[in-house]
Amino acid sequence: MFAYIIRRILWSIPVLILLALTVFVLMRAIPGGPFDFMGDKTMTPAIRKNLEYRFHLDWPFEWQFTSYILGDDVAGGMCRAMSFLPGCDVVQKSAGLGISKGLIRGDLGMAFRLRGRTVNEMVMETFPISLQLGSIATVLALLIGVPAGTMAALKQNSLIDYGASFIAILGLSIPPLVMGPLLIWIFPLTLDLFKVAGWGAKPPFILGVFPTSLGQDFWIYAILPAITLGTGFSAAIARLTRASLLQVIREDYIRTARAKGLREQVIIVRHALKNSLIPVVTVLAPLVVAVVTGTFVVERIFGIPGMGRHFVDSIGNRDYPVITGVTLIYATLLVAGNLFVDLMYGWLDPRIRYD
Amino acid sequence: MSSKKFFLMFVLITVLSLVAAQCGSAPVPTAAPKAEPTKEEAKVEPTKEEAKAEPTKEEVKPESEKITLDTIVGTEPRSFDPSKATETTSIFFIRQMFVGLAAFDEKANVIPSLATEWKSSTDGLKWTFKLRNDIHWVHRSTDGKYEDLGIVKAQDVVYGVKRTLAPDTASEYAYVLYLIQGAEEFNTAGAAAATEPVTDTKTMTETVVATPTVDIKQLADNVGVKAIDDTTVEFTLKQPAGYFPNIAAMWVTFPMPEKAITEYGEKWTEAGNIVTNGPYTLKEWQHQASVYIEKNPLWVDAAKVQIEVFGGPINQEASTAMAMYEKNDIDIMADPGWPTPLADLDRIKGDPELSKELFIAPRLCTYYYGFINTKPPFDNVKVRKAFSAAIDRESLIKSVTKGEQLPAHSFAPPGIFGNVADNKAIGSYMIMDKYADQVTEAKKLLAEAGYPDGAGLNVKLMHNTSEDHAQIAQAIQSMWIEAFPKAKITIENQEFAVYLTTLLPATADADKPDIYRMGWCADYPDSNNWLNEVFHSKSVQNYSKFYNKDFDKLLEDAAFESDPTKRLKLYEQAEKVFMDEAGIAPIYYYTYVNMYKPWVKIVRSPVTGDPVDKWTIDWAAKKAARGK
Repeated sequence: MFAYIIRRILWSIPVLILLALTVFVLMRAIPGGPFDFMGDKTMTPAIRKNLEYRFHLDWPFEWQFTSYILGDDVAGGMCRAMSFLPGCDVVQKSAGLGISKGLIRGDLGMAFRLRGRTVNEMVMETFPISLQLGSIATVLALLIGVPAGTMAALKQNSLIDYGASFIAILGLSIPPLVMGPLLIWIFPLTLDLFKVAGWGAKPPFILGVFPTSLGQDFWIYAILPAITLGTGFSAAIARLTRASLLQVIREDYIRTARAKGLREQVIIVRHALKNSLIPVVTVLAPLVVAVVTGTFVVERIFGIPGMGRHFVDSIGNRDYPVITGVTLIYATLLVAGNLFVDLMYGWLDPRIRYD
Repeated sequence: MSSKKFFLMFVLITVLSLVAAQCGSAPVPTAAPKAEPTKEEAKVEPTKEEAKAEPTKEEVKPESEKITLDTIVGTEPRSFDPSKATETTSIFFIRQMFVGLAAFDEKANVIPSLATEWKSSTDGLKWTFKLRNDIHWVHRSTDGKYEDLGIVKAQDVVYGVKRTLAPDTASEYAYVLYLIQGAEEFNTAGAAAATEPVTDTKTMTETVVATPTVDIKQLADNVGVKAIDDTTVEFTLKQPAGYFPNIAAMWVTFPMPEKAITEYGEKWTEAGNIVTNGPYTLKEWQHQASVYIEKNPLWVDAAKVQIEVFGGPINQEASTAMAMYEKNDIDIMADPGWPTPLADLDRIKGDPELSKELFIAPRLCTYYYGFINTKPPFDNVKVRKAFSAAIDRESLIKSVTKGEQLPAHSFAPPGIFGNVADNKAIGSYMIMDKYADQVTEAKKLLAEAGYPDGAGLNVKLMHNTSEDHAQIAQAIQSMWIEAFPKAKITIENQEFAVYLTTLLPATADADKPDIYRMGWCADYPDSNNWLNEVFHSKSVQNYSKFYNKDFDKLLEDAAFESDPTKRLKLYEQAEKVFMDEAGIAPIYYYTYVNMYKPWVKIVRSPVTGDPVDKWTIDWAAKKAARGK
């Protein structure tokens, strides 16, 4: 199993580099560059040239990518050593401006739009907050979703089942865009409960991610967005748990367990539910990763300074380093999440082996 | 494991993580004696520096008692570096924290600020500014202590201008300084060297070209700005420019603190590092979360400044901001936050309380539809005029935009030097007393052009993707269809950066729409920034490809002219030519649709950056309203 984990981790490296390359190519393929416009004005050509020079966008594409992965000092060094390489003349002129130390040294580069800010800083400021919100929403979703789905499956076609399914469909079909403003209208505006917008925790965070205080000041900000984010999420989990559990309780080994005379509780929890969580966990991993890396709509409605905005805003701004950076963070977590799921399979279903 | 235990597991995980977080919080210093948590206090978070610093003897006024004006900030400010700011939010705060040679008053006139007076030489090439000597650089440490760093001198202005121009600064607005001698050469030095083609790709011969050694220092010295003495700055221009005082009021020419910039590099604009010279200074900037500025106690007119703290959380959603406003969490719906959302306007106007808080004022922006002047059938002035005349601006404003905007019949809005908004004779075909007359005129023009009732016309209107622009486009489309029933009019939209690429003069006309939506807002309130910078035939902003020799000549003459009366006359003529030729169809002059709580008293400026130092607040009334 240990070898399996190592193998998986090593495999993820080329995947991430390929992904960075894809984002790199795709972003540059969209019409309109980062310095073509300023607000809603077209940038003066001389100024655009100067900015492209400053941020190495005048470099040939392959050198920009080399610099992104290895660092511009390395790119400059390569050019000094092998100045016959095509494009080296341009590279050497501005390699010293210091834009990025390269992905391999953990530097995601310098943002184009927010001047003087690095992508690393921007991620460190916003990711912990998205992670806090996403984790609360996930816990909420699990606390509601799994029990609801289990009950619905065990009492199939009963009032509980129909009720749970109805609520689940409702939860799935109300988008956060509606749910958020609705909750704001009900709680802070009408009942004077909780805060309209903002986030109760501020950096510095403990270990970079945990809020320093989880008192009332934290929850009056966190509850509404967590509910907004968690509702649809829990509905998805409930429906999945129900469907999966219904299938599992018809399996032969459940009948065997019953024949052995085991108590119903043991049968359901140890044999049925555990096994039925495989599809749930499979779907859960990417969902959790999507939620903890920031959700644009919920964070925007509740004015939460999370990372979600960067996935959207940086595309509009053509902020190449930012969009590449946040995509890589997302992908890394996704790879890690999927690995975790694969390891969970072995625990949830003893028939699965890692060879 | 029983099912109960299973649920317990989840609960346990949750509780554990909470406990872990709580335990971990012990070593982090919390705010000194934790009193009743009030709204003001919630904002103040101790920083590491604060914890390390020796407890100060002189007690600072508690945050909750500081006179605070709460707002939200509409977006993460791009930069508080005057050389690098480009957008409203940053510029708003920069104007509170820095003062430049000149400033703008409530009517957008240029007024003295750091400079008490200025004059130009008879040939209009040399401008001399006399500086006052009682403006100081100040530094606010993170624990709230202020340090006087000396008088702002002429050399700081020279440094600021040259820093904006330095290629490594990569300033977007550096181009407005190109009229200074040697400025363009200096600014483009880095890129010019970098874009020289070296390898001949056709013959594949590798020509080793020595890097053109540009003497950056020499170029910097050649820039036409120098300090005659500590209180005199002299600019030497490439060409005479009557609008130069406007440039001297722009943030890119502000004096800048060389020492702090050298010491902190890119990070000099962080709270605790920044050195400022205006009525306010940066108190807190939690990136992407909040911005607060604080009254500078060492400011020359500090006694007259009432509001001690101004700022708030960053929030990108206007409707959420509105909810916060209604809950008294914030005091204003205005820059640097959000204007009143359009969706709420009808409700606010109908509400007896809220309607009193609504404040509508002219804004130096124009919304217009441009025609691609080189693309048939819009190369015909009659077609252009017909489409412009057939827009019912009054009813568009009444039922779609709703912000009491003014129907436009020229390019530059009221407040811009050289505007002709009061001269109804110019562009009269778009603002007739009765809209029906405009339609009659439009039909007649279109018939004369060979398209009776629009027969044979296939017009594509394009706007950048936005709900507001879509609504306006649909309204205007229906006006056109009603006026020209046989014309086919389609609407398309594109994402903004793609849209601008489509409109670039270099793009082939065939790939362009016939009519495009665009707006222009003042960088500085002079027609040079409007007609000349946008529609001169050489401008990159001239998406319409409008070209008229007389028009270009008038604009050049006006730019070189130093006599204000003559300049006004030239701009009036230029606007007339532009509207007679119907290069574009101006639609409306923007307004600010803002809201202020009754306890806030404001002084407005149509140019970005209202003087918050002149605002006042009825502190007792605000506290009473928030207490309920």
